[in-house]
Amino acid sequence: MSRSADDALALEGYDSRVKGYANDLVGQIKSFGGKPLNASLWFNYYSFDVMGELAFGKSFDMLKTGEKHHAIKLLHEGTRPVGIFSPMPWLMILMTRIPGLSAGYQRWISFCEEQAEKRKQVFSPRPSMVSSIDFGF
Amino acid sequence: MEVKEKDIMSWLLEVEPMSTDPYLNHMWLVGDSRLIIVAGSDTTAATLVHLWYYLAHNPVHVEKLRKELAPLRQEDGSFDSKELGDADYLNGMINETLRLHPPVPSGLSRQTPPEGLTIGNTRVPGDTIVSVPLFTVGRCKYRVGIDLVKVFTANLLQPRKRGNAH
Repeated sequence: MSRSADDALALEGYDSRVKGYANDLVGQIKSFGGKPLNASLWFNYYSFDVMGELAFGKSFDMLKTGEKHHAIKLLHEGTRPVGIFSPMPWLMILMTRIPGLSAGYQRWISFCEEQAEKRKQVFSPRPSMVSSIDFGF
Repeated sequence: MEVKEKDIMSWLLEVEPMSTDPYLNHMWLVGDSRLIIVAGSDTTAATLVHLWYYLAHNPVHVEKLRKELAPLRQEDGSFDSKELGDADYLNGMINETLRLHPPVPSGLSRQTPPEGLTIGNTRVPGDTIVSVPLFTVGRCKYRVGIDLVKVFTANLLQPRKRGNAH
């Protein structure tokens, strides 16, 4: 199977947008002048900024500011139980329903929901389409 | 906030609703956004960290990569993504890193078809939740003990199939 022309076009559009962030990352790494740097942090900045841009139309600007967005902490806290419990999906369901035990996970879920909510509110390219998607919230 | 170019959410918001129930629709969207945030960010970061770890430990790979990539570099310093897609050493490094450090090491839950599934000599009943641990698969017996550098070389000696990978 080969990629359809539409897919290829869509990917090319994304491609140029990713390049800008890759250049920002290279620039930031260069600014350390060969001194050690926290690679985990900077690669996280990069991938979060790219994801924010491509998925929600808005970068988290971590590469530009060099500041850690609280979303990274939320992600790591929120996905830790997934790593531990995913081989036992039934236990995961139990654990996430016990108050306190799953606070980090719940904060993470709320963050994701917030991103979807914010993005939904600015969605208005074609009014007829919006009115047909009635989310009721 | 203004959305100038199409993002992934545009596509999700434009499609027909998944259900006539607004609450279910909302949950589909929230679920998708969770998937996009995790799958679209942390996987890339973790893979880059692991790749760079091996590059720092085995500078021989840095040299080989530079040799492969230098001729592909365009005048303005950028690269063409199609050409990078055909760079064997680069893709070998990425694939080996993913094999040794899959971003989802424990695998994801999947459900077998109603008629069940036979894998090798193992029979898995229908409608059963299964999870394939990618970390274990990537390091299963016949691979263990092989020096990483040798694995890179061995894999790179086998030409990749082109054009039909999608």
